[in-house]
Amino acid sequence: MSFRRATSARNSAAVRARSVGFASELSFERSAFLVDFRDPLADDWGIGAALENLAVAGELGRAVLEQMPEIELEGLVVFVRGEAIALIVHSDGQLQPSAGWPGVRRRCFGPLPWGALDNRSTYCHCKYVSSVKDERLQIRVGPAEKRLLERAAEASHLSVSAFVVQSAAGRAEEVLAERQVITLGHSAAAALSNALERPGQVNGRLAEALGRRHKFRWID
Amino acid sequence: MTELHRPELLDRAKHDRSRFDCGEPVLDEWLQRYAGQSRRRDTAATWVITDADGVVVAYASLSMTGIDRTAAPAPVGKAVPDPVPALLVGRLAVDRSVAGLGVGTALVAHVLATAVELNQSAACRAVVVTAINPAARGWWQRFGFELLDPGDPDGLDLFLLTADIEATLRRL
Repeated sequence: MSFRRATSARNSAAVRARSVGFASELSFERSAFLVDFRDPLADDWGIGAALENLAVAGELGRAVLEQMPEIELEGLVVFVRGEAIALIVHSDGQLQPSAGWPGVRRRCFGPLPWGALDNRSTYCHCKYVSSVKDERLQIRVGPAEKRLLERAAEASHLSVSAFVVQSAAGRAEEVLAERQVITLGHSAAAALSNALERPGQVNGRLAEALGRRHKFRWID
Repeated sequence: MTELHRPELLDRAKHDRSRFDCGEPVLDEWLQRYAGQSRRRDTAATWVITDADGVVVAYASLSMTGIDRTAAPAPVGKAVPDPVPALLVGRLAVDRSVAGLGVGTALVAHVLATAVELNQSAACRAVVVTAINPAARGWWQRFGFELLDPGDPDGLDLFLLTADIEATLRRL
């Protein structure tokens, strides 16, 4: 499925202003709007299964649209437990407020920013959009650093704050993924120490997960 | 039916990682640009599952870590080493083309078996993962991983004890 661009260039600030009107407790970034399913993992209907099998933003959007062509929303971001993981866009760009989808609690009909769907950073940007952004991080930078960040953000089609958050988050993930020491607090250290002193026991969830048949074949 | 090679260590000459696309740019980029560096610096080893053409469809980066438990009360865990030697699963990602086939589960099974082998040949008392986000945390919890800090429900560090893994694998 190919996504069509929105019909005209849109001002991101206008999109944001319209979006905020629909859900005051949510904050929206440039290309992330419209939100809010019930927690799909808590329910037993289709989207939960789709999420489990296709935990990928663009792919999920395509799969859902292929399976449910009656969906008539221009775009929305699926949040799971507070984190945006998927941008779903209707291919014809028509807005149909009456369109129904079980679980959609709010809809916002702001148009897609022009070119957002063709920009991979849209998807990666979504990852860092929280449903509630009430934390503030203040940093001071020199003029040269600020200009450098602004240029890089512009080249990435992101706001400066989104670019800084995305870049820092990537570096944070890198650091966390190769830690040589993990330090525990008082209660966590006690809990782990106690657990390590008991004999090994079968983990039911692990046994169940590993017992599932996979849908591919090993070559060798 | 899709045919895949069993997990093996990443070999730049043999494996094509240029097309890897899991939907998380950070994870794609790491495999394509930094996995080799991590191996050369001996900070992480990368295991891959590839298709019949040698194209990487899933990977996991592993490194050894230590869990500092000095904050535990003195009487607790006298027989437990400190730091606790553990295997850290830094990253695990599956290409979109094979999503839903159970490739991630197969890679997890390999990682856990590796931890058991390590525990027998040296010492590896736990497997620790740092979930990339809350959705990923839920995915790991399906395998029985528990929060490293139970007091922090939003935490992204999870663990499984190697002894429990061994007991479970023995029963399967």
